[in-house]
Amino acid sequence: MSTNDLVSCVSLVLGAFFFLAGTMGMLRFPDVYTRLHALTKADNLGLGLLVFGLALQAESWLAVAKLFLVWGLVMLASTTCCHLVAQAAWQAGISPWSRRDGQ
Amino acid sequence: MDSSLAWFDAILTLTLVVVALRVLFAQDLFQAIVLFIVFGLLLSLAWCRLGAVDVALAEAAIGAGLTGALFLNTLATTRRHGDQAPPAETIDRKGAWVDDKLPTLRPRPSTPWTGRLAFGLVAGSVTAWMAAVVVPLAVSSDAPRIAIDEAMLRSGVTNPVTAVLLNFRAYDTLLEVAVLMLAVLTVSSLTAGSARVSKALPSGPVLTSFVRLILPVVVMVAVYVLWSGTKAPGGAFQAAALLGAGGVLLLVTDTQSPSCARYLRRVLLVAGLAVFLLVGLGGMLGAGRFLEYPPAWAGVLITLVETVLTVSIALVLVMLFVGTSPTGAEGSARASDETPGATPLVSRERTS
Repeated sequence: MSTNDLVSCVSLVLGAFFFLAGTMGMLRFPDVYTRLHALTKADNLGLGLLVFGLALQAESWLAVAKLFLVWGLVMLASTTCCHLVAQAAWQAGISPWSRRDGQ
Repeated sequence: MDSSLAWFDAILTLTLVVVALRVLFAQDLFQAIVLFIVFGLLLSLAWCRLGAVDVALAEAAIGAGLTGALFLNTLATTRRHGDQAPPAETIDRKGAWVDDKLPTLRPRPSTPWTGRLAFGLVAGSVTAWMAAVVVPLAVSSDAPRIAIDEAMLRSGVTNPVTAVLLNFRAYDTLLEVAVLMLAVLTVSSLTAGSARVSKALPSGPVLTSFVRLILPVVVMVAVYVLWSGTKAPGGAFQAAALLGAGGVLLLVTDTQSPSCARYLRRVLLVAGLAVFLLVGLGGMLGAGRFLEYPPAWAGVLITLVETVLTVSIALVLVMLFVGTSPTGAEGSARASDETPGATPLVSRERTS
């Protein structure tokens, strides 16, 4: 296994870990804001690491460019969506969870 | 490698079935729509795995994206938020007061078991019948492939899907476009031209910048998808879905809405069908049969029809969205959809 493959593997596994963590956060976190926080980590870092790992295996520079374009577009869209959901929740009067509220 | 892909396919298929069941059994209609959108995205992934990239593109853009938006519109218009009653202060569409004393709107009336059995039997027998028709078709024979390969040379394009849609079975596509036109005419006549999309999304620098950044990309990708449709997956419907989505994005955000004279809108709306019909009639004069292109001109004619169709279908999709948009006190509808009052989301979600 070459260094390239090794780095690629580590990056892919780390990316998958962020997706797993994001999913668990969405299922387990107490309110909409904290869940958004967990989800965007999966989209930004998780997908970024996956893209990086895949780019190392890509056959051409064009494929690398396309992969990073996908990452950039997803980050744009997910950031905007996160902002919109959070803003809608805030305007609907949902107050952020804090430890004082308890379970 | 192959076995892991087989595992992926198995999990994907299982997930599709589970999500489909969740859509059917969802108590809350909003939840059902969100699950339906998820189902569409998973289905487009399944089409990708089957190698049908054209269908995958159409499914993701139209099936999941625009249909989901239309469903959300319809839900906001009809105000049937599952089994939740609307909050007391809401005024409904006709201006009547709605209060808690009204019977709760239920997502579906309960059907007696005999009715359910009858539905089940009908659906089951139709499925069995379709399986009986379709399964023998899978018998591998090279005859259709050879026939298609031969016909492809005369079709004017190199993407088999485009050849089927706009040459071999152009009649079907023509009628499909006519159905879309009928649908948009019906919606327009029902709303009597009064439909107006509210700026439903909260405005702000983030969304405005996003729309400004993304719209040129959307237009560019749509043109690319249209242009590449003759030799690679893509074509009029996919490009139109992209353009339509861009139009919807413009309409729901606080940016400057595209304005367009009414007559121009009407001309663009019918242009696709009209040009398609004219080309078909031209084929009748030239080659002797309706919608038959002379092989030398086939490529040009198909590109022409597809280009005009893209504009028309995109306009159809946007107008369907406008036509189904809720009018009146939609701001409160959206708010009540999320949470009545300031209860934390967690308590509501756990119970539903």
